[in-house]
Amino acid sequence: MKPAARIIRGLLNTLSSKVFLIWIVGGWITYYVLSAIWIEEAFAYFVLGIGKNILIQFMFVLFLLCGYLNLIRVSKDMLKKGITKLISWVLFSAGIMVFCTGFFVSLASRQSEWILAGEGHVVRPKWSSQELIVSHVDAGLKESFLDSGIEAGLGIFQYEPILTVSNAESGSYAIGAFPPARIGDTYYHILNFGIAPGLRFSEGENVLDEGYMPLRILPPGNSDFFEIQGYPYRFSVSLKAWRAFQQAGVSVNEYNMKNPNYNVKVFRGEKVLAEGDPNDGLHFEAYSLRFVEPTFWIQVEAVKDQGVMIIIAGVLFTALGFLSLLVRIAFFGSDYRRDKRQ
Amino acid sequence: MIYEAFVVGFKEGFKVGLVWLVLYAYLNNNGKNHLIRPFYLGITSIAILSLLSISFPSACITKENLGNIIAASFAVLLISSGFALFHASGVRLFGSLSGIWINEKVIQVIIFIGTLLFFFSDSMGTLVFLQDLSLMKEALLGTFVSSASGLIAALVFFLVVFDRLRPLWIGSFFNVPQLLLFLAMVKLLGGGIKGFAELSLIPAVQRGFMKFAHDLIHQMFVLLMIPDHMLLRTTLWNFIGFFFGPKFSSIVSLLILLVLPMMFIRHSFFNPLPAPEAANPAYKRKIVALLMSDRRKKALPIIVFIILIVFAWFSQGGESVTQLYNPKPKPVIADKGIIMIPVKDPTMDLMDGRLHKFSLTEQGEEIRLIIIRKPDNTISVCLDACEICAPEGYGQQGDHVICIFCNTPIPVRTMGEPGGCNPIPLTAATDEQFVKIELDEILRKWQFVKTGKSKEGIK
Repeated sequence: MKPAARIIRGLLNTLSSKVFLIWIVGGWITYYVLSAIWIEEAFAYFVLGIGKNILIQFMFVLFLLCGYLNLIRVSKDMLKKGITKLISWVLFSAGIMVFCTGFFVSLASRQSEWILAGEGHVVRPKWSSQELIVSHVDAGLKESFLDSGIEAGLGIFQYEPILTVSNAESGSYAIGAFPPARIGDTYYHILNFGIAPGLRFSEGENVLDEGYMPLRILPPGNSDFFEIQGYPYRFSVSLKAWRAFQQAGVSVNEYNMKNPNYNVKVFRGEKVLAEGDPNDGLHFEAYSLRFVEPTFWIQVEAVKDQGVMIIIAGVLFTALGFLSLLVRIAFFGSDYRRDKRQ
Repeated sequence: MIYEAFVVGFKEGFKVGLVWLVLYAYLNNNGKNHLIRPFYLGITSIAILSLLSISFPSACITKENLGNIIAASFAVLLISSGFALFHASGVRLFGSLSGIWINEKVIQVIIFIGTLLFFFSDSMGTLVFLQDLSLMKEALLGTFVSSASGLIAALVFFLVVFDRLRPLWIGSFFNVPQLLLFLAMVKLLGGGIKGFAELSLIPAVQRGFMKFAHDLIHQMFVLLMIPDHMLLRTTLWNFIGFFFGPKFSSIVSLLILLVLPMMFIRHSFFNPLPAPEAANPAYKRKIVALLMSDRRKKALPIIVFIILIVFAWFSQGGESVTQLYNPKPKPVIADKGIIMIPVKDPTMDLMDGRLHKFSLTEQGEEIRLIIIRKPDNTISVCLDACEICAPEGYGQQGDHVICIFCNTPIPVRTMGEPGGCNPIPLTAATDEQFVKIELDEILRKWQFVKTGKSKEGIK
């Protein structure tokens, strides 16, 4: 045998040995536990390290390589003991290794971007050449809800919001909160959601600025603010109840999402110039602010990640392997009991 | 007599006595009684070092570092017991170095150094605690005499037990892996250095494991793109919330801790035995029965450890929110756009290391602030809210603050660092008399919490 071949064979023998696997797994556990004791945020550093630190990446790849070689070695031995044992054991062990591989691939290669979009906007992550046009935002909100219902956990949604995007070449797609939709090589899902009242800022009859203003005022109780460039005003906005009434002796507010009411405060520095509902027009100094029919905005997370499917496959394999191991032990007994019988 | 000092001293004495008893019985069972001498030498060295270090100021090794060394020694012992178990199962972990462990001189050195390492951090931690206690009780002599009485009482107890019962049979329940696991359990159950507040290491270990479980689950959600926004929790969060709950992470953490003892149990009851070399089948069966009996005997201490861990785990109550120190916020007001909070007044002391909460009412809305002294003696001022969770605030447990919403423990020393589940830091000016925070700073950051903008800020 040539020296190079002998070295490679020796290396493979070492990497596929149980001893090396125990040392490398034990080494990882020791490293993690000791760093967790002193650094506290050890997991965050570990995750960052897998993404960026070449030494940690090398050690993790070494662990993966060692794990797969051990898997092959043990599978060969196990084949002699029967196919059922082999299948359940390989499913379980390979599941764990595949999961670890996905974890590594995902952390080392993931790209992501958060994109704020409303109807008519174009969604295009920086790595993608595919343009998706937002054709519809289905807010999924209840037409009206009570604040007591929100506190009781009933929420403000009738169903989860859905974003419809389309592309001239590939057709249209629905994007929800979960699971993410895969379009091309990118996953999309809704990360956040809000209302964007149409606003009209005027001086007398002269409209100075108009458009939709994305605000984070949902669920009711939240408030947000915005400014109009070139003017010294700050507008603080919150949702206002459509009506209030007594229910079992408790005051309850009802919010209408078809025609929402707002409470807007206009600030100039510390001074409040005006306060009221801009649906009726809000006048201050020489200007007025009016809110018209709202639209909804969605914050989409776009993710390019080759590891996601590997992670899912790993989880499925592990679960299946675990189940088949349980079934095997239940129906055929453990190795120990079998060996004892023999 | 200072009761707490007595108990702390008794605990340390009990640890020494228990380790001595088990080690002596183990060595006696293996016909190597003479190897106990390095243990005595190690204990004597620790006693001398402890007496010398009484005069050292307690700041020379911080309590935090001593706690970390004890936690690290527990971890190393636990992991070592796993390695030893694999070695005992026939995996030649040390290759050609395996012969070293047979050399008695090497074993003597290991026992001596091991004794020093095992007891040094505990004794130093206890001394530092006793120094603090004596300052609080204003009774230096009384504290140390009480503690010494406890220590002596425990040692006398073991000597009497040994003299009357001669329990050398204990040694037959142990091999090297079981012995290492036993030492790890002694650290776990008796390694606390905070008096009655933390007699064992369980709370610290719980926090560590639960943080790991929480971080792992959170990372999985990030990888699988499961939204965790407050707004969308009405639908998916009801399901996700289960995984973030304290019960789930407490159980997962316990299972992680029990992995190694369960491996011991598996080894004792289910691992195949090596085929005995005997011609006579009856003799073969006899050998197998003896081997199995020995293995099962050695599983007994492990079963006891498992019961003790589970009992201690649940009696400590995990990271239950009800155990948290969650003070009622004190109202404060802004004067010309500045909030001024006195560092010390008759009702509070911001430098006492406890969590202080304050509330500010702005336009009919309550905004909560938290202030705490960090281990480096600086003051950290934050909002009582984080960037991820619903703003339910924080409570304090030992040297951590715990997010009440998701139960994440945050080390106090990392307060003021933005991101994740850490409280949102506020810029504040601190002098000897006051902590001063600008109202604008508070309002700006609170607005982010309310609207969810802070979540974008972490991106």
